[in-house]
Amino acid sequence: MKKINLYITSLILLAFTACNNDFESEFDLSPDERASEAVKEFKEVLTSSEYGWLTHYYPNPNKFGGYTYILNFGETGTVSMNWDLYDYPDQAEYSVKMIEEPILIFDTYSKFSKMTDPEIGELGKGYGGELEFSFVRQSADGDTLYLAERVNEDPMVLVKATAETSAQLREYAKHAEHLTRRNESVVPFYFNLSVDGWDSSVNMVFDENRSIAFLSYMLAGESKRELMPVNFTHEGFEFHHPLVLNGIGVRSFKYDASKNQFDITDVDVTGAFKYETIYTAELDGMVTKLFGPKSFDSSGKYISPKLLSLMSGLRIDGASFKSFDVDPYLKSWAPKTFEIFFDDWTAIKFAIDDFEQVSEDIVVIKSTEYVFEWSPPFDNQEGIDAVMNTEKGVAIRALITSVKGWTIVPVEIKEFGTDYYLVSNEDPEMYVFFE
Amino acid sequence: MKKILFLFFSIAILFTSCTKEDDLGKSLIDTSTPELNDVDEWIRENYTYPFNVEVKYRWDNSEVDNSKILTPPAKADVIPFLDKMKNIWIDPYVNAGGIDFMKRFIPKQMVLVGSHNYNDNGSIVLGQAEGGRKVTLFDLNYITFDLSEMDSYHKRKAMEAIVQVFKTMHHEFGHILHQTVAYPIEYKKICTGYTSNWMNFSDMDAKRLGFITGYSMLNPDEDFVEMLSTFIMSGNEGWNKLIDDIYIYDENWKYDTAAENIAKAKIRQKEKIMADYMLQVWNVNIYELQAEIEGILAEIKGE
Repeated sequence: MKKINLYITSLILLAFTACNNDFESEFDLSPDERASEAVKEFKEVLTSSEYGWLTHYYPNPNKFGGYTYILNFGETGTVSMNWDLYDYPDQAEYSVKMIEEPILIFDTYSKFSKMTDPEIGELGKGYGGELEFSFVRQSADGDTLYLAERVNEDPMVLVKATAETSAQLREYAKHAEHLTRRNESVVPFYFNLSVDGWDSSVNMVFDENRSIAFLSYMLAGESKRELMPVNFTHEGFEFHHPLVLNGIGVRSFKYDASKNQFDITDVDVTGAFKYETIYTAELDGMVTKLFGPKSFDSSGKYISPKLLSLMSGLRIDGASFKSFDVDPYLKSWAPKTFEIFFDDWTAIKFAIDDFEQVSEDIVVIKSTEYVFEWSPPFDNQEGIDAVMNTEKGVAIRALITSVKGWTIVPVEIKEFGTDYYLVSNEDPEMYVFFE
Repeated sequence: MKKILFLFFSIAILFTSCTKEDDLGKSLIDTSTPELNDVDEWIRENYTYPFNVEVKYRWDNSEVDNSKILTPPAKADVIPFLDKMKNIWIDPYVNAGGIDFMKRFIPKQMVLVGSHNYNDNGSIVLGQAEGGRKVTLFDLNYITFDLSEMDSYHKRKAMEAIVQVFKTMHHEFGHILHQTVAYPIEYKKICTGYTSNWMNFSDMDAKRLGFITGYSMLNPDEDFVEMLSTFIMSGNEGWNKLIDDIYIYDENWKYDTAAENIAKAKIRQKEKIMADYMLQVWNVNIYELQAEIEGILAEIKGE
C-alpha cells in the first residue's frame, strides 16, 4: 500500500514538473536563426567593400613568406581576385557556411588555391595555407576584417581596398626585383640593414621562391641568423614580424629609387637597407660544410652582371661560358676541382689541393695546376693555356684564386642541399649563386 | 494489483503528456532553392536528374581525407571533365546494359578534387571509392581534353592522364558490379601469388606472372577490376599488344616461350571468364564496350 502512495505521489510531481514549457532563452532567436543570421552578416561584411579587400597572407610563416591578394567578394558567390606576383585576374566560387561558426570557404580553384596546392612549395604539402577561414572580428571603423584559418588558426587580415589598390598591386613585383637583383644595375652583393641605435648591421639574402629572407648579424660578439618571412607592399616590403635588436624593432621598408635603397618607415626609427661592400656577420662552419671533404658538388649558374661581363668572350672559338662548378669531394675519389664550364660541355678545371679557410665563412680557391679533360680542347696544358693565358684568362684566374678568397653567404642553412652565394672579396660586385 | 497500477499510469500519462499544442514555429529545415550557377545546372541536367547522382566540385573538407593537402578543381574544368566522363564511362554502359542498369549501379555521389592526392611515400592516389556509394576523383586540374595544339609528346602525356582517370572510374564501377553478383570462383584459381607487397612488382613483372598490372596482384577482386578497366580503356589493339608483348627470359637470356605462353594464357583465361560474366550477369558485351570507348578516345586524340 505504501508503494502505491509513493507511485501516485511521484506521478503527480512528475506531471507538474516535467512538462514545464516556460523556458526562457537568453536570445531572441533560435540557435538556427542565429546561425543563419551570423552567416548572413559575415557575407554582408565580405561583400560590403566596393573595391574588395587587400590581404598579405602568410600561408606558413615558419617556412614561407607572404603573398598579397585583392579579393573582391560578389553577392552571387563569386570572388574576383588578383595577386602580387604577376598581373593575372582570376575568379573563383566562394561560400559562407556555418560549420560550428561562420566559415568563409574558397570553393573552387584559383590563385588563392595555390596556397594549398600540394604541387607548389613542398611536394605533397604545398605552402601550408588553408581554404577555410573563420570570422574573428571587424575593426571599429569597419575597414579591417580579422579572419583566422579554420585548422591552424593563423590570422588572415583583410584591409578594405581603395580605387588605387589594384594599380598599386602591380608595384609589388618591382620591389621583388630589387631584392632578387633581377634587372638590377651592378651593385655590391651585401644588402645590409643599418639602424640608428643598433651595434651592427644585418645582412639579408632573399629567397624569391619562398619569399623568405635569411638574416645574419653579430650580436654581442655572437653570430646570429634567422629566417624572416617577407611580403611586398606597393612602397617596398615588410617583415612578417619586427626584427628587434637593442630594444629597437624594425619591420617596414620603403624603396628610394634615387638612392637604390629601402628606408625604414617604422615610427621613430631611422635606418635603411643598402647594397654595401662589407659583410659584418660571420657564419660558423660554412667552409667545412660546403667545401669540406664530406661536402658535395654544386653548380653556380646565376652569375652577377659584372662577373658575367668578365667571363664573356673568354673563349674565341665561339663556346660560351655557362657556369662555375665546384667538386670538393674526397681527393681519393677524384681530384677536387673548381671548374669553368662552357656550353659545348667542356670545362677548364682548376686542381685544388684543399679548399683553404681564411675564416669560418671565407674560402680560398688555391690552385697551381689544372686537371685535364679526356677530350680536346682542354685535354692538355697547351689547350688550357690558349684560353687562360690571355689577358681575360689571367684576370679571371687571379679573381678565382685570390688570396682574399670568397665569402660564403647561404640562402638558408640546411642539413643537406644548402644553396649559397659565393662573393668575391676582391670585388663584392662579383658573385655567383650555387645550388 | 499490477493491472490496476498499469491502468492508472496509462490514464495518467494520457492526460498529462498531451495537454498542450506547442507552436513549433518556422521550420528549421532550409527548403529554399539554392542559387545555381551554370555548372550546377549542367550537373542537374546530366547527372542528378537522369541518374540521381550528386556531384560535388566545391571544396568540402568533410568529404576528403583531412590529413591530405588538396585543392578543389577549377570551375572551368568541371563541365569538360564530367562531359567526357559521361562519354567514356556512363553512356557506353547505358548503351550496353541499359539505362536502368546504370541508374541502379552508378555511385550516387561523386567528389571532384583538383590536385594530386599524395601519399607520404610520394605516390599518388588516383581515386577512392567507398562501398559503391561515393567516388572521389583527383587530378582534375591536370587533365585537359583540348589536345589540338599539342605536339605528339604532350598529346601522349595528356592521353595517359585521361586514360588513367577514367580507368579509375571503370575500376571502381567494376567493384560495384562484382560486389553485387560475384564473378565465378574459377577466376580466383587461375593465378596464385596474390600479395600485399604488390607495389614491389612492376606492371611488366606482374604480366609475366599472369596479372595485367602490379596492383592486380593485391587480391582476386582487384585483379578482376584491373582486368576489366584495363581491357575497356586499352582498345582492342592496345589490349592484344599488352598481352602479346609479354616477354620472359630464361637464365641464358633467351626467350622462354613456354613461360610466356603460360602467362598469356592466364590473362586470356581471365578475359574469357570476365567477358562471360559481364554478358551473362549484366548483359554487357565488353568487346562492344571496348570498341565504343576506343572510338571516343580516338576522337579526343584527334585521330
